[in-house]
Order: sequence, then C-alpha cells, then structure tokens
Amino acid sequence: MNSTLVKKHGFSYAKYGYLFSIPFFIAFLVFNLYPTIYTIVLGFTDSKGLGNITFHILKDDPWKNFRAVLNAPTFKTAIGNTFTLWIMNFIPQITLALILTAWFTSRRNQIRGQGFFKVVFYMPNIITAASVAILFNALFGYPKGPVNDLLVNTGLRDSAFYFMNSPKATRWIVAFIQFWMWYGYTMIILISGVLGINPEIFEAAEIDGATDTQIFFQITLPNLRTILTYTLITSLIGGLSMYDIPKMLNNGNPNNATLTANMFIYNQAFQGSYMYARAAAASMIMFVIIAFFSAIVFFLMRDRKA
Amino acid sequence: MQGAGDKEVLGFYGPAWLINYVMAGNSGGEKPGEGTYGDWAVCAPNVGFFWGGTWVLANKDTKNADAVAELIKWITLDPSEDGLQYGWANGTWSGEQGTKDTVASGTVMAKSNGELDFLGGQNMFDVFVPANAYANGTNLTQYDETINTYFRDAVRQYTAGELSRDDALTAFKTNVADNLDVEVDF
Repeated sequence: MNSTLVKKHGFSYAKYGYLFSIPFFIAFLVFNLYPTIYTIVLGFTDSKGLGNITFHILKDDPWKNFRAVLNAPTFKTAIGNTFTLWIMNFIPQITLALILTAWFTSRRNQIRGQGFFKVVFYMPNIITAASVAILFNALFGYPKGPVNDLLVNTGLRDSAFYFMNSPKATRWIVAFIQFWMWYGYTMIILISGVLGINPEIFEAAEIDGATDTQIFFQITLPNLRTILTYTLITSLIGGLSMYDIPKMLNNGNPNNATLTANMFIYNQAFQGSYMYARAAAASMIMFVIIAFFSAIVFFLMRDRKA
Repeated sequence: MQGAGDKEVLGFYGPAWLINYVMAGNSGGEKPGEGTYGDWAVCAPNVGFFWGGTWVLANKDTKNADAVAELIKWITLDPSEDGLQYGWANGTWSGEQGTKDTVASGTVMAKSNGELDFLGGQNMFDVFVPANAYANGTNLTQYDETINTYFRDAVRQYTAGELSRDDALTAFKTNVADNLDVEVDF
C-alpha cells in the first residue's frame, strides 16, 4: 500500500532547493564575485581620481602598480604592523580562552554561575568596534583623561603621559582592544568544541587516574584540532584585515605605528589622490599573503592519521 | 635672530585675526597698562604663509545676476572709502572703536589707519601690506590639508623625542610620496 502512494506522489522536491538558492547566488555574483574580478582587473590599469570610472589597461608596463606598492616603505611598515598587532593580540587571546575553557569544562570543579560569566565575557564582542576605539581614545586623552587622572591622582606618575604620541603605548592599546573584544568569542567556540568530545574518553581517563592538566593536554587539545584550526584561520583572516580599531583610535599614528595593510589600502583608494589602481594592486598582494598563510595553517593542522 | 637683541622677547606665529579676536581679549586687560595690553607688536615672519580666507560665490543659475555681480564687486574690488574693505579695515562697521581687521586689498590697507592700542599704537598695516605678497597661489595643491596633517604628525613625534629631526623629515616625505600622487625629492 505504501509503495503505491510513493509512486503516485513521486514528486521531486529537489528543484525547489535550487530555486531557493538562486537569491544567494545572484547576491554572491553581483556583490562578491564581480567586484573581486573588477578589483583584479583594476590592479593592471591606471585608474585614479575621485569619481573617475574610465581607465586604461596598462599594456606597456602591466606590473607598474604592483611595483609601486611593493617599493613603498609605508606598505612594508603596514604589513609589518599588521602581523605585529595580530600576534600581540592573538597570543594572550588564545591563552586566556584556553584557560577559561579548561576551567568551564572541568569535570572535577563545576563552576557555578557559568551562564552569567559566559554572557559577561562575550559582551565586549557585541559593541561595535568603532565605538570601542573612540571610547578608548577618550579614555587615554592627554593631558586630561580618565587614565591619566587615575595615574596622577594615585601617585603612580608625576604628570600625565601622552599615550597617543608613543608608538609602543598605542600599539599595546590596539592589541588590548582586539584581545578584549575577541577572547569571549574564542572561549565560547572552544567550549562548544570541548562539549563535542565523547565523554567516555574523559571517564576512561579519570578512571586511569589522570590529573586535570594531563587530561587537558593529552585529551582535550588533540580532540580540539578542527575547532582550533577554525579559530586560528578566522583570527588570522580577521587580524590581517584589521582596520576599524587602529583607524578610529588614532588613524594609524603616531608615525604609522598602528597603520595596518587595510588602512594603507583605504588611504590609497579613498583619500589623497584616489589612486584606485594602486589600492587594487595592494589588495591583491594582501589576498596572496593571507591565502599563503591560511594554506600554511591548514597544512600544519591537517589530520596526520591518514 | 636669536640672541641678537638686548632683551628676551616672547613671540609666536599667528594669523592676522589673532590680534583682535584672540589676543586682545585674553591679555589680562582692556586698556593700555592693564595686563599685557599695549605691550605687543606685530612684525613680518621669516617665511610667508597664507591659508583659507573668506570666499564669495554666486549660484550659476541666479536670476539676479546683475545685482549679485554688483555685490561681489563691492565686496572684493571696491577700494574707495564707501567700499566694504575700507570700512572693515578702519573698524567703522561696528560703530566707534570697532574692531579693525586686515583685508585682502593692499590698496585699501595702505590708505587705512591700522593703529591699535593693543599694539601700543603700532599701525599693523605697515607690516601686512608687504606681507600680502606671500598670499599668492603658486604653491597651492588639492593635497594641502593632507600634507599639513602628515607634517603636523611628524612634528609631534619630533617634539616628543621619538624621532630625530632627519627621521621626522624623512617620515613626512615618505608619507607624502607613498599616499599621494606627487613626486617628492628626498
């Protein structure tokens, strides 16, 4: 009886799947693929000038823009800063996230109020980055600002310190803002990864008498490999395209100490001489760099069992 | 020149409107003898400079083109004693003892009375008429604001001791060369 029913209603719903995917594909083609190809083409032209949409492909010297970008000392500074700022932000972030994950998923010590802590730790991620950067700019104001007032009134310093004029201080502030905004998110992702590990493994380890640290390093971390890869890759891509925090905090100053690659591209394209071709070339160079390092991360974190 | 005179003197750079609109009100007094009122004087700078100004524009679709043209002429080209600039230079627009100001026209300033009590009776136009020669457009570009910002940032680093003088100048020139479409001689 059932089979007759199936034969009669042998109606394939598969085509509706394709139909419902069409909006996404149209949006992808128009807003993602076409601009990417256009940018690649722009890198080989002489496009510049505000609102100028006519350009000529450079036939006699196609790599001119790429050479100009690679020779610019500001671009090298920007790339160096991008990596420095990312490393300064990522190492404390992943360390604190792993420690918090170990505490929150510990089978021996069930911490109370975990939900409250998770909400509070995740909250900095919800505030928009631009608002946070402007807030920190106001906090570290010179000569009068909350942090300077605190330092002077408690006697830690004799006079106010010009944070925004010191390259080291500004870099550490940018790294701290990034760390503060993202450690909660990383912790949530890692906790969800730990919850996906088979509890029988943990029970077996406890029966064998393993300490908490042994469990963490021998069982939890190896099983978190895929989640750690995801965290590393997304943090790498996000860190290498860092833009809003250093831009809103002090616009890359002092002396380009917090100038990142994306800020360099923005300055080329949308300020000054509006050199779209050079910005496109710089974007392509950044694309190659990010793809290269992502490939390295994937290679290092690959499953070696097969 | 530093160390050339017999007394130490404090000086700083400023635009023409600094005298009447900023310094006079903040000199600790309103008459000669109070505070530093009357102790100041103005002299030509070692490097000429001009920035900004006041602009008059007409809408290209205006229906009163003749009236607008006459108004613009009166504001900018009328050097007579009925013109706007003459009244402004002599401070007669706001009644007795109105604020005297420098104006664009050297002709007007040459025949105006720019004596100020704040400057101890000095005629400030004696300095501003020759200085008008610096107000030409020969080295203006559309990047001046950006270049100014790069220079200011380099100077802030130099005065904070983070960069030496040569390094600050190199940093400034590098910023201009890398971000703008101009040729820079290093």
